[in-house]
Amino acid sequence: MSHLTYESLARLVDESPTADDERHLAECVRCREALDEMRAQTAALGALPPLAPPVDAWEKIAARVEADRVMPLRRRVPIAGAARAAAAVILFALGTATGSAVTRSRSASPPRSTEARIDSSSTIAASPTTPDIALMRLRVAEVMYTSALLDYAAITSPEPPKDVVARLATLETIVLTTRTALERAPADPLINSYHLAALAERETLLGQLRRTSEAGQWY
Amino acid sequence: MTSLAHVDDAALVAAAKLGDSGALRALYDRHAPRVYAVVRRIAPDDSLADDWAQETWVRAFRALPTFRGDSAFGTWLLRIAMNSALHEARRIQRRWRDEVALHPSTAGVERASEPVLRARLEHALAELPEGMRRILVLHDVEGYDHEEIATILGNRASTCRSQLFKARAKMRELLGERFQIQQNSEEPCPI
Repeated sequence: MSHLTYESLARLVDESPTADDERHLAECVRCREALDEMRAQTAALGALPPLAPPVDAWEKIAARVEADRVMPLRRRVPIAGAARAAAAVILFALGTATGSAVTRSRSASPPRSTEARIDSSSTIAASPTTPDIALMRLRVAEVMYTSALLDYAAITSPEPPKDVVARLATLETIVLTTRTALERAPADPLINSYHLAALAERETLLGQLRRTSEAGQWY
Repeated sequence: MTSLAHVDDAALVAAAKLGDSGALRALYDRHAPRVYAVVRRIAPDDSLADDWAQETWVRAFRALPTFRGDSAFGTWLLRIAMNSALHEARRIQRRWRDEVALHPSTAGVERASEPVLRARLEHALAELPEGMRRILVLHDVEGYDHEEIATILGNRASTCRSQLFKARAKMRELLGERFQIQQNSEEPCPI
């Protein structure tokens, strides 16, 4: 009988030996030593030190993302003075409208058209002249998007599942509340955590709704 | 962005999809060391490793809207890293083959200040054939399991497993020659 091959020894690092392997290892000192060496090799590879990227790597990546327009980046910037107040008022109003949209009964009241809501917010339809106003418009657009999505669900669904709709409305409320809070405390870890978790949940839920729609089910 | 250090990947990805630069940075901070370590052990030198790692992140951010969370973000990211690194490695090898034969002993990481064993391990890793090297780096160096590696490389887990054993065996041969391990001696086995 010959020695165990390197491949067999490599397998025995992670896996239990067969009866033949055991019998051989019990008798063959060389193969036992070779197995120990293979184990030592694996352990040594696992103990190789981490290789850190260069310290300026992120700056280069961020510059490329901006230069190549890989994706639109949005920074959290404080909304000052009147612009912040205006944003709060508009977001509150739209948030209330969103809540109404998702909780009302289809039979009791048909959904308000998206065009009507866009008209109602025409005060922010002009081209933005400052970053604050542009950011405000972006946030309002997010709320309108969700609201329009829910309107679509209400129109196209014979029987929308109320728990899903209610959950979406709740998540929207959390997103808006934490976003407002982040304008005052952009580095607060707890608020960031809630905000991002709500965003993730909302994204997941909307994704599920889209898939359900594609499958010919609700929404 | 240390304030986001405790936020999980799913939440960061959702915010990053909306273009939140803080979330992008947090994802980078969390995953950059592993991405770089894997890419560096495939790239011939530091400069190319920097370029390939950068390319990985740009590709990942570009593809972020298509990430559906079917696998962990880190796994998805490493798949991109591996694909872009291997693509670049093959391109360079083709170019070098036309100019000067790629000398494996010049590849890899070696620093005079490192212990001898570590340097030799890195050297032997660099001498492994490409397919074996990526399996060994992902499994034995970075600690991914066969299922994760199968996702990263687009293989079956059983294929990864058998490739790992071959890679370890080849590594053992490379190190064995250097360390004069007597595994291949002609002395007959006693049983």
